[in-house]
Amino acid sequence: MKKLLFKELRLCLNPQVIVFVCLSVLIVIPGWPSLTSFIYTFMAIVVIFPIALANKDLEFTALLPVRKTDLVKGKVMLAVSIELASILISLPFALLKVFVLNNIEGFEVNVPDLGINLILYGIVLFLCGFFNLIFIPWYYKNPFKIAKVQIVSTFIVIALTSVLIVLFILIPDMSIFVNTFTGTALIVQFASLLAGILVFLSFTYLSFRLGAKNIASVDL
Amino acid sequence: MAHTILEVNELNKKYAKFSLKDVSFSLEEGTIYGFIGRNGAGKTTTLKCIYNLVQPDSGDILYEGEDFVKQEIKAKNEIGLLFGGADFYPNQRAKTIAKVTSTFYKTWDHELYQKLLVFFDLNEEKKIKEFSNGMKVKFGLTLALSHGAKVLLLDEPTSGLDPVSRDEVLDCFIKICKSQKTTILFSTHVISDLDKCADKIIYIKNGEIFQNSSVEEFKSTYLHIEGRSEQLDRFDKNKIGRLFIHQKKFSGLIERKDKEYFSEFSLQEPTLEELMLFIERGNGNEETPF
Repeated sequence: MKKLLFKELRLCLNPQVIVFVCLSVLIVIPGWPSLTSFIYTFMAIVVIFPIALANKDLEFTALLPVRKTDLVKGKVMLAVSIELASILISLPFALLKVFVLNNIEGFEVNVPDLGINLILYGIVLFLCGFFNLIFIPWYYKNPFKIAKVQIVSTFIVIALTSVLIVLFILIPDMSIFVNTFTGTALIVQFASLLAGILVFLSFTYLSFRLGAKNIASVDL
Repeated sequence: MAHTILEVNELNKKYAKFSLKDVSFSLEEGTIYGFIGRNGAGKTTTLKCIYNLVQPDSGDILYEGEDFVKQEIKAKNEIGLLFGGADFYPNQRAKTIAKVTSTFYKTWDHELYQKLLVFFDLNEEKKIKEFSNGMKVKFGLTLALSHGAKVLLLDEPTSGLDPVSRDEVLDCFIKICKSQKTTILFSTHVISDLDKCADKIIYIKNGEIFQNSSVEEFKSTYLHIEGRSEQLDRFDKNKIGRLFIHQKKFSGLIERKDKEYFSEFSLQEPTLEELMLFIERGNGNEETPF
């Protein structure tokens, strides 16, 4: 597994992907719906596949002493690394916004939003798992074609993110609840994060299993 | 008796316009096999089936007597496979690709890798896109050879190489085959390569093994004939295959049983290339658009 991840990080990451991953720092922007900054995470993932295709990554990896399923495993590990890196990079900026910048007068814009809290990260993890589950198995049905999978998967996850953003604007009470850190609301915060982690792990594992099943019948 | 290292048994794979039909052969340790056939005859598909990149409809591959798939990682660690040249990650340095490749092989020999770089005159600091086609082939071979493979499956390893480089590569094949008992199966369209180094020929035609024999046996049925064209009038021209008459000279192939009949002509061992042309094109009289 270590070898596969090393290969992915050494050969398949390019500056464009790294920039997209780092864009989760946009969480710091005042008045921006916090979920928006994670859309670039999905962009980073969908970008690595056509680049890999152009670089004949599949042809190279297939020659190594690995199983066909390892081709999927490598890419899933890269996708997970991108997702987790994106979340980790956003954390200091999220804390900066919550504890420092929001205290500066005039910085915070009062628009109902999901905001920055454990529920946000629970939802982000859910979206990542959900995206992996759509994208990975579908792509590995025919790993030599990417356009349709890339466009549709991105569209679905962006649409879902947009619905969530709009929902918080339309129902301001939801925004108030998720940004409360006492009593029941605090329990909900932790429960949401835990649920997000569980969904992320199970959906991602399932995406690998289905992707591996799909590539088994593909002639490389 | 030589040790059989790899067996291909009744491999079948059906595509819409092409199929592999009951492809069977075995590879013995320390032997160089030429894998020949026209474009689209099934050479690459067979190699991919062996390495489990293409799922055959039926048939099995045995490595060291055991099912290949059941010991896939071990078998792949001991087999070097190359399709053409190292034509991947054009923006990466050769050094990076070698570094990544080396992590996958327990038997990677860095010293040998460095020696091969010098032998093939390759600069590992260069990016792949800066390599010529020939250099990509050489770099691919360097990677395939650096992990001490017991079996090398090479698809067109000499295409794109200049004659000197090709000769170096073929010398390299002969040496590793002798010194390390490496088995090499390589497909090529440069048939003269096989005259130089192959011990055996596996000939695939329309997805079927047409011949599997030693080079001598393969050549044993025919003789190359040449002489002055005016002498031909006294002989039955139909006994000569691929008859070419040019500038009052002729050349062609005769069956060895007619050796006495044509005794007054110069008779020699045929080259593999002319045999292949004869097998594929007969007398070469098919209609062309011109």
